[in-house]
Amino acid sequence: MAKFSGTRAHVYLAMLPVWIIVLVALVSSTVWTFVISLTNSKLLPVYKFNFFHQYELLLKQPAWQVAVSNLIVFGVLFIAICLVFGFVMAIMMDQRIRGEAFFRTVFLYPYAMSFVVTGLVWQWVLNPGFGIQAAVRGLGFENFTFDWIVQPDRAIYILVLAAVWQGSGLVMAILLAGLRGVDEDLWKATRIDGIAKWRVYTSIVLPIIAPMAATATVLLAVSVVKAYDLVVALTGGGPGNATEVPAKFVMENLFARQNVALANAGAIMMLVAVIAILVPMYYARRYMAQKAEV
Amino acid sequence: MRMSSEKTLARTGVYAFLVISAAFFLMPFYVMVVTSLKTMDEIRVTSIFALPDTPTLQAWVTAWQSACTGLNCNGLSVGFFNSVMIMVPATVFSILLGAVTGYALSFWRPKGTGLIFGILLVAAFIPYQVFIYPLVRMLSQVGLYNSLAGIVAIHVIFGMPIMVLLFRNYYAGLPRDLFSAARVDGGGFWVIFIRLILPLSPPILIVAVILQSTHIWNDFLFGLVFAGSDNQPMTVLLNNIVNSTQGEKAYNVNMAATILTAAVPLIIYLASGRWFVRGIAAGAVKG
Amino acid sequence: MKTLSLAFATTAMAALTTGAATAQSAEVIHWWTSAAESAGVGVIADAYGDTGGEWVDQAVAGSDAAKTSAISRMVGGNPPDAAQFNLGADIDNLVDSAVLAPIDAVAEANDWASVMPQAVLDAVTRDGHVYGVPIQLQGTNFLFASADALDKVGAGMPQTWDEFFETGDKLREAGIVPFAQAGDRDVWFMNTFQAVLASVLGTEEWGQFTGPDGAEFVRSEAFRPVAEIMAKLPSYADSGVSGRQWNITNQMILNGEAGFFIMGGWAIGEIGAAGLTPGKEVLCGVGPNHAPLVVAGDVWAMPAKGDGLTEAQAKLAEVTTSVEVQAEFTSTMGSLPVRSGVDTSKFNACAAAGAKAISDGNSVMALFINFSPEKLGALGSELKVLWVDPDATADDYVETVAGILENY
Repeated sequence: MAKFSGTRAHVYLAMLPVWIIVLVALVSSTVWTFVISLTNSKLLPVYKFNFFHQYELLLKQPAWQVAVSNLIVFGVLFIAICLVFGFVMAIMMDQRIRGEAFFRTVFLYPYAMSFVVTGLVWQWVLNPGFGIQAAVRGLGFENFTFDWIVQPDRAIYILVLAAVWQGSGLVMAILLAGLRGVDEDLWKATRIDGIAKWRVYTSIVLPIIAPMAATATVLLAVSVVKAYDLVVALTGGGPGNATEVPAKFVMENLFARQNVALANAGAIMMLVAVIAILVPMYYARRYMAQKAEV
Repeated sequence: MRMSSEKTLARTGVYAFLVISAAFFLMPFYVMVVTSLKTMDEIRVTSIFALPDTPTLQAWVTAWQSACTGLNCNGLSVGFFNSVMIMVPATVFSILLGAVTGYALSFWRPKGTGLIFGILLVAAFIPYQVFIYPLVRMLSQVGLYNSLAGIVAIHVIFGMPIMVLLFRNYYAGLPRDLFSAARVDGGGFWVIFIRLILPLSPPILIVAVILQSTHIWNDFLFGLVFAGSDNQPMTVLLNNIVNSTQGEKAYNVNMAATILTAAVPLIIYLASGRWFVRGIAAGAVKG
Repeated sequence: MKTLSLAFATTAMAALTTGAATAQSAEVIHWWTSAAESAGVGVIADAYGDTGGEWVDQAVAGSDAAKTSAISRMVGGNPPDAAQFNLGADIDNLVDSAVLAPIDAVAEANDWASVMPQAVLDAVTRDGHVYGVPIQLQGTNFLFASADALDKVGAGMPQTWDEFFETGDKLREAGIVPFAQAGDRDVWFMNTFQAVLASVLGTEEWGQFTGPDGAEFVRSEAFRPVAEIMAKLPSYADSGVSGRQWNITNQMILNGEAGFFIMGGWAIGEIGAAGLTPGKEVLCGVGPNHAPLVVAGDVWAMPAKGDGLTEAQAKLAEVTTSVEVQAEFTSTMGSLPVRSGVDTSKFNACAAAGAKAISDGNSVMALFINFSPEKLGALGSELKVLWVDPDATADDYVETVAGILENY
């Protein structure tokens, strides 16, 4: 019994750093962010309160509403495509192929590159004047048209394309790690039973690596909510406001427009939205898990 | 016979998929490389896909040692070691902390597990730019503002949500029976972690290294605000080279500088190969 | 005042005589990072070094990033000696937060009141105190044209907007993009609007737009032509505006791919870098309609370190605004001096046109000077939205601009 409580003490000791980080750095900074959002701070924080005035301003701004709806379209498409594409890539990589290190590096490298410049390269490639469209027309296909980046109702898909290019390799790596954690004996067993390989992946392996898929989803969702560099480098939010996103709104107000309070209100609104999505998901999963145990 | 021809077909399909995907991924890289090998005059007049007439490495040399990043025209090289000095300790500490915490949360379930996990998860979504002012105040109060230790601490703090999430979810996928058996054998907290859990972790450790080292290496904002002038990472210099608003833009140097800055993460990706080996887990279970 | 300047003179002398022994270092944050820009900063740094001080360079590319760095260091209690900000309302919030040191002593000792244009001095003065050291002025509304393209359609530099659109029609028929617009940052739409505004209003009515009854003025007949030109202009541009960097628009002119573009004086340097002569292959002028030059600029903000201005800060302020440094700095940067007495005879044709506009009194202060960053940001993003809307009418422009003037 004494030994047991000693071990428990070690557990709490191990948890100490993370508690300090969470409480001192993350929670208190979040509270501070909220407090500032209730003031009329401009460039530097001041504590003159006008309560929910910033939120009122924020929700009235068409720019904010447009940014939020753009983000939903972008986020759903980006996460779905990345997960499917990443999973397929991971399975292909798992076939004991030659040149695995080469392919893994090729699929991952976009993740290592600063979007400040790769965004610019995408913009060149997609520019109708001198990118793919011009190159294909130069080959003799005069009517070939690929100018989504300058079309207000299509530009958001271009954002998805470039984001998938950057993010799907990481999903591949995470799911591949999950696949490599799957017990070798399982494969032997299914081979003996003569079950088709694709069925093993979809109905046996996928549930096993579900926690890793969840990790990948959260990572993708985080990058969706924080999407900023990509937009700035690729479209600058345009054409018009077709690719404006909330994080860009927050960043612009934080620095260029010198409106810290409004920016913080935007950040808090994003946080509230995230909690509103995560909490029901958490309880739904717990409920499912309990049902499964019964 | 039928079996093997079907197998060949499947193999061909696998490689066809991989090669086509690789082409998609490499296309922008191709544009970057050819642009970096051209002179500015050539860039102004040729197609972005065209191969350079007379390839020159001048842009690479400039990017590494003589591009101006303000008054100092010493290129990116100055920031390289600073970035290494920041990345190594920050990656090691955040992964260690993440692994131990993830292990504690998923196997020992101490009080407050749900709460701490929830807070970390939510915190991952806050644009951390809004945290700058409070963190600047906090760090300057403990004397770490504008220091190497300060920037490392910042990376550990902001790496925590993702690292804990990564390890906890990976460990949640491991069979719980292993842990229960070790407990019955009388294993303590650290013994089980080191003898049982760590040997099962290489695939996820390598994912953690990929994630953290890339994040830290590519970070610009924290490096700019917290590192101080003596520890400026490579990305701050990269930004100075490529991002001037009103100055002329040397695209060839910008491309070379970007590839050079990404070189370290790329080498890590290439080298991570042998850690991604199937069967480590199975071997550990049997052994 | 006499005692103040005397006190300053003594300290300056003391610093000079003791020389390097008490080398005062001045840490300076700025966003001039390209090769030509670095050379410009080098002029100030060298001059500062010649007085026995040590220049500690903190270059951060991108004005937002540079300001972020400067402001967070003020918050962290470790401010630099000087930080670059835009001339005008950009420093309002810093002054309100009382983090800057007034520079009155230097301004008085060097008689800024008589050597600097009143508008420039006003732009750095808050409640009777000077809070910024003007570094350079920059014309923002140069109209550049490809001489080649104009030759092809047999046209010259347009003197009016009607001529501009006439030439534009001809260019389009000849397969040339009439007007190149940059679109990677909202501010480029603001810049184009500002240029149109100046060319229509002139110096007289400019103040009505920036004044307290701006919204009312926008709804009046006097503003109408601005809205009409703005509504018409997008149809003279190509479809690739979104995300395009300003120097790509410049290249379109250099290649003869496009006829016209509107940009600040910094584009002049890029023309030279491409081996062309401003005024020859690339024509330039200050907007059509003999538009006044729209002047923006940069200042050093000097954070308070203890009691008022430090010696290093005072010395930096003095060096920056001296005749010699202004002459060399502005010719390197392709910008305009902040003071009189600077020899501008070596300026190229484009820069000289800007300098002449200022000395003729045909200039106005850019919207950056009076409008808060918030207001400017809103204006830029709304104009960007209108730009891509093919159905946007002059009325839409009137309502949008009036709305922003009312709400911010």
